[in-house]
Amino acid sequence: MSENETEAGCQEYHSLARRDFLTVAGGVGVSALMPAWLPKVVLAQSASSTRDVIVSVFLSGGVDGMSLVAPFGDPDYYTGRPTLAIPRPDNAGTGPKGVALDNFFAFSPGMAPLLGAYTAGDLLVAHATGSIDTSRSHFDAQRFMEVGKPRDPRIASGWLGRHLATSTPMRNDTPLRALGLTAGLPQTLSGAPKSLPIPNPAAFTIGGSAATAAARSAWMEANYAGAVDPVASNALDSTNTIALLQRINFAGYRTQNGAVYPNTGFGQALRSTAALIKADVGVEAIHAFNGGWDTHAQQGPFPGVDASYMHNKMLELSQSLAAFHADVIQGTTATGVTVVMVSEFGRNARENGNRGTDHGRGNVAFAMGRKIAGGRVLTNTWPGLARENLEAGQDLRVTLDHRHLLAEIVQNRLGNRNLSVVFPDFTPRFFNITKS
Amino acid sequence: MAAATMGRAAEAQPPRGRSAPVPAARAQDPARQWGDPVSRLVRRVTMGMTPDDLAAARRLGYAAYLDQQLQPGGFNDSALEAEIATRLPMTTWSLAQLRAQQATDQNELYSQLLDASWYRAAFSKAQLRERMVEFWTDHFTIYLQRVGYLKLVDDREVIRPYALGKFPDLLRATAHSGAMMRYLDQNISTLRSPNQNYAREIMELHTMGSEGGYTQTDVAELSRILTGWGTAADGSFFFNRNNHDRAEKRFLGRTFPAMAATATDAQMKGEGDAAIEMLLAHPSTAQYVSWKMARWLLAYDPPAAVVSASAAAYARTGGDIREMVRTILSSANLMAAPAKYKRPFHLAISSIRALGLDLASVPNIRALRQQSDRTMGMQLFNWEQPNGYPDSVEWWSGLVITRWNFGQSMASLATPTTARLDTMRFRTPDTPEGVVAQVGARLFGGEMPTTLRTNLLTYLRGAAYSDTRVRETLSLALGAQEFQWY
Repeated sequence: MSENETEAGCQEYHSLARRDFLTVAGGVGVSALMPAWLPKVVLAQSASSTRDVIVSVFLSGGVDGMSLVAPFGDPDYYTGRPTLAIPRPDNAGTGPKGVALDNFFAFSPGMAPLLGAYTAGDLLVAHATGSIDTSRSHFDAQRFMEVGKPRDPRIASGWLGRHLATSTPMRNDTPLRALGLTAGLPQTLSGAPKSLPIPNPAAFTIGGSAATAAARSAWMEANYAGAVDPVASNALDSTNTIALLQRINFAGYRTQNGAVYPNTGFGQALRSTAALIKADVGVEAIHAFNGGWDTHAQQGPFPGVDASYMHNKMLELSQSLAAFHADVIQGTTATGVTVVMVSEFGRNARENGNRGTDHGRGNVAFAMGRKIAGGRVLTNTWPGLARENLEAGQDLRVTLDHRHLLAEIVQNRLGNRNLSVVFPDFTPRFFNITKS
Repeated sequence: MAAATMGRAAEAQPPRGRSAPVPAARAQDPARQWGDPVSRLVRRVTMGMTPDDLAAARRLGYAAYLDQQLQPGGFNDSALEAEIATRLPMTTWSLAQLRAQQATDQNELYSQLLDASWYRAAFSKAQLRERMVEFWTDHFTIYLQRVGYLKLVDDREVIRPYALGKFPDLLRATAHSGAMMRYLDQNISTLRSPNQNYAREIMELHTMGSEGGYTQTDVAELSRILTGWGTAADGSFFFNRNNHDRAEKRFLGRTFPAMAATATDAQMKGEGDAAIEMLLAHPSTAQYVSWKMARWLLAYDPPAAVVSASAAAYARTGGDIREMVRTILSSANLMAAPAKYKRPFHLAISSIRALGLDLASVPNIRALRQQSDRTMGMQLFNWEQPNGYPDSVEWWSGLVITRWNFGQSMASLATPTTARLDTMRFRTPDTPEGVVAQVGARLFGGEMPTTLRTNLLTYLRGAAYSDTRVRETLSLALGAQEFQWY
């Protein structure tokens, strides 16, 4: 271990100790997350060749996992959802139907673009997964997932933020380790050193006259050095990041393997992500949201049902991810890349009176990467959709805490064994979703 | 960390010359730079302090100035409203007119609503009302894309009239807002399949708070109580007895007995009205609403005593928002409160006010507003979820580059037909010292730190004195970290 690595390691350690984890819930006072057991943290310092860049996607609104990945092998799926159930893959005729992933689960037609990644063994689907907390409040459930600990109103740092805070940078001198493709810092990344919200990486530059840009930028840097944190550190990260991002040709970025990203917000977000990763500038975590999944009415999960709202959203999602798979997962990158995707909760087993579904529990989650043991649908037993097997008589049970999946990825793909910090008060069990 | 990173930053700089700034003092709460309670009050009750605001407040004194701002009806905004009616006529249209127009020109309708909101925030004399309009807009968030012109009606007839009124009146008004019924799916709730969205949010977000003491069963029961509440074809509130569940319900410990089919509309709807009164009377509501208001007006982490005092004011006055504000914004509370970080909308409006722009110099605010909306991430009415835009340093402070660039755009305004900054306002006297003194008065209420003054002067003197150089100096002042707090 070189002196440089020690220095960088100690820097992260000290910033973690000093950092004020401002509460989001508020009203209960500022609380430092973990002063008592901080000295026991051993900073992860594994070589970058065994560490992946992680791309974290949050599907906000409580996506209906049973539309994304339909349990066609469960007869109660069809009795509970006469209008919305994805038609069986073995249906006769030419109408819309599911695409079988095995003899029990099928992709909806909208998710079909991801079949290539699945059959290549790079895409893992997990089902009946989610949080142990039963909250059906979007805000609470999303918060618990992003902070990586249910039912704790005070913890404010994100699980990915804590991973970054307890591991040395993949590149020592990088000004930017993580970014959220959003207008505000996602809670998942909260607490991460050197992380910024950058909704549009291609436009991250000082405006105004080119002749005075450097002088004005320097003026701002000095001015913000006197500010309180996180304002000061954000500004510094920003100015250091400008030069970094300007070296990347986002506009002229060329994909590999013929990948085409949809010309939508999310599609372009993944395209920018790809360009950032391939530029190999030290960014090691990227978080993006894809929202609008709160389908209480006229859900439209496949063509021909209402206005196909959810079908179209699934197409955008799967096409964007499939492009990323072809371009990045199967492309040439300096390091490996792992994608994880979760949502705050699933939706009811039965459809409601408005051809939609209300807030539920068990849901799908995804992981994608060359070192992900994909090509299967993982469940820790499928609880079944018969009424007696439903939670509160209405919801698919959660039989797999999604943190088990994330924990295995954090340890095996991100090289960080500080799982008790990344997921406090949780004992992970690995389901062999990663390959060595 | 600070020392090491400062070193790295120094290496990245061009060689130090005349423009090299003096490093600032060790970081401290910006509020420590501020002096007396009056200027702090003006900072908090306005969307951006101007020398006129400060002079008026000093003349009146703390209590009288606050009192004046708590009675928005006492101000004469007729010139502003006349201009808005002329430039943005759709904002005056009736529900029927809006409905007829929205199919053809929906984007123009949205733009006019947004422009009007910016004009009012920037130029209304009732500044505290504007701050509370922003607050209640987030508290009772409605996503414009979901409800269209109904939000224009909601803004005009629900949020603005009651922003400084009684909370019970405001809550009842939102519960009868077609926009709210639509946004939270109450209008598709049926007897057979009651939709729980509004029932949940009216408790979780609008009144009691998620820890307020209701259960999932209460949510379900309230959704049954509220069946029938919805909208008519034109989007306005309408109670439909055919959708109402007449069976017995039990909500927050109270039994609502079953009703006969002969019950009147008023009786059936009355269950919902009664449930709303229960929410208004619940002690958690006084606490939760007080906490949110204290967080908005006073500090991210308001002292429990302040929240309790406001809750007591709620109980004493039947939920009078003015009295709660008065309690929260006492001189003692304000002197003890740390600074808060301006959200993008606040930054933009305070920039407009600090630069001395007015209706005449901003004939068309749209391009300016759209640039802010696109880059700083806070277009009004565009937050999709019911919890409203976040109000935290952690969320907003990362997008600092866009703030600097917005400040640069503001300082460059020079188009008479849309927006024009009159730099002579700052070039009085027309010297570097004169400009920086004006910055101190107009942007910082006379409380500009010495280092900032020095550094602005250094930059201004770093090249030949010109209007361009003056504008660049203004852009630095608008982007400076000192201007991001209030």
